[in-house]
Formats: sequence, structure tokens, C-alpha cells
Amino acid sequence: MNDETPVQSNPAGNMTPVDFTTFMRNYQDMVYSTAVRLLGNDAQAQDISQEVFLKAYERYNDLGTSPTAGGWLKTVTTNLSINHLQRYRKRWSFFSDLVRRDRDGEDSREVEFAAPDGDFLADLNQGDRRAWVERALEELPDHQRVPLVLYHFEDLPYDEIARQLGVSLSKIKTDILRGRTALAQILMRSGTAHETLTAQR
Amino acid sequence: MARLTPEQLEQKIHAVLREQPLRPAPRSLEARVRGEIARRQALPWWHRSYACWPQPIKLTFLVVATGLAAAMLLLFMPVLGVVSGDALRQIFQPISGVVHTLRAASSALLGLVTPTVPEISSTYLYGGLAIISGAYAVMLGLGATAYRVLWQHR
Repeated sequence: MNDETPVQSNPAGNMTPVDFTTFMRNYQDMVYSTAVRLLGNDAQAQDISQEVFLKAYERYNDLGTSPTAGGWLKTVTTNLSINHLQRYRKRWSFFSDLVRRDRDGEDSREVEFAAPDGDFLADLNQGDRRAWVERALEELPDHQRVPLVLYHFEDLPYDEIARQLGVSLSKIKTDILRGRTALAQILMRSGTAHETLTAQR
Repeated sequence: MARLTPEQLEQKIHAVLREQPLRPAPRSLEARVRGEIARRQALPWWHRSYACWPQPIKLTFLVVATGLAAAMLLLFMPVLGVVSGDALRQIFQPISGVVHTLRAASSALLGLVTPTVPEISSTYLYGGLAIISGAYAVMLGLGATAYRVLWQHR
């Protein structure tokens, strides 16, 4: 991950500023990946990434030599993406509540998969796995994908995710569990449709 | 057929997601950012945020805004009956000298506020606050409307 890409430093350990283009090239994949995973939309992820780097440019005097620039960029990307989703898709929590009421009591059950060991995508090569997982994430509804990404990619604990999204802890846990189940089922379907993907490319 | 507990499912999903490599950003992103930076730098200072204004302009704006706020307060005092017009004239008398303008203005303000504060009834106080808040809200509303109508769609 280029989250860890350091700002250029000399042997004495002092940070030396890099030009903004180099700075951007070091971090743009991390910023874009974070945004696209949260938003599930390429065009919106590009807009958010652009906004993140414009903010970074405004405070580049501090960021250019900071060893925590990667963390700052990731936090800003996450916050802007969540703000974007909450501003334009306020209904997601409402619909999530409706779905939860309909399906109460299903959460602690075991999940059944039509494959030995529940090992989805086992037969696919690295490139195909990446494509299928990306596509499967995009297929998830916002109220499942966002907490799932924050939990598994950003390593945020449940309570922090609940705080950031402004919903209850129990709802976050339910949404993440359902997100995992839905993702596993999509991936399982994808695995059996391997030939289709290969043929489409 | 496999049956996974929620904990096993979490582990499997975590493993699948964490082995995902970063998605490469589109090549156009860098050009977009640089283009937007160039566009913003080409904007005149009055179209940028206050933080980007030149230092002398910032200082001038602060002085003018403070002066306007003080003038508004002084104008509202007689209207609210807090102080008479004669008292106001007396307060402004020392300001006639060009050299002592700023000093006199500040002492006038202090001289006005200090003796009258205990005499202001809560009605006038809240009335004044309401007028100021209302004027501020109107100014914000007009500003936002003007921005949306005259500038945003250009």
C-alpha cells in the first residue's frame, strides 16, 4: 500500500520537501482506492480524490515534510467520502432500517455456502479475484458497503464506525454482518461464473 | 456444502479483502488536480477564501468591518433610547482631531458602554441582539442567494 510511502528523507532523518506532483503520485492510488471502495463509484471517487489533493495543496507547506501525510490523506478521504454519501444519499439509513425490521432474527445464524470449506474464488487467479471483489463490493448497498470497508480496510472498531456514520452500534454490527454475507454470496456466484468473466474480457 | 459461523465468515471476508491490491488512480486525476490548482490560482483574490487574501487587504477589511460594527452599534443606541443624541454628540466631540481619531473613537466607545451597561433593560438588550442577529441572518441569506444566482451558474 502506498499509505506507507514515506516522504523523501535524507540519511540524517530530516524530511525534505518533495514537489507536489511527486507527492501526489506517491499517494494517489491510496486516496483513490479508499474513495472508490467507500463510494462504489468511479466518477465520484475521482471527484473526492481531486478534492482531497486540493486540500493537501492548500496545506502543502506542512504536509510536504510530514511523515503522517499518508494518514492525513486517508482520514480526509474517508471523511469527505462519508460526507458525500450522507449529503446525497440520506435515505440509506432509512432503507437499512426497513430491511432490518423485515429480517430480524436472522443475524446469528450460520451462513451456508455451496462450496467446500466456504472458500470463495479459490479457483481464480489474482487478477480475476481482484476484479470480482471490486465488482462485488460495488454491488453492495451503501449501508452495508461503507461500514464493511471501514471495518475491514480501515481497521476502525465498531463503535468508531457507528460514531462516524451517526447510527447505533447494533445497527452497524448488523449491517456489517449482512454485508459480509451478501459479499460472500456475490463472490460465490462470481466464482462459479468464472468462465463468463474470462469470456467478457 | 459448507456452513460458516459469523466468526469464520468474518475471517474469510477479511482475508479476501485484505489481499486486495490498491486500485490504480486514473491517469487523468493528476491533470485534473493540476488544472484545478491553476484555475484557482488564476482567480482574483476577492473570489478566493478570506485565508487567501493578501495581508494588507485582510487588515483593511478587519479595520473597516470593526468600524462598521461600531457605527451600527452607535446608531442603534439612540434608537433604542439607551443614550440621547446629545450624549452621542458629546461622545463624538473629541474625534474631530485628525491625529487622535482612532484613540478618540476607542475612548468614545468605552465611554459610551461603561456607564450605560448597568442601565440597559433586558428588553432593550434582547431587542438589540435580535436586531443584530436578524440583520446578520439577512446578510447571510442575501449573500448566499446572490452567490447562487449571480455566480455559481456562470
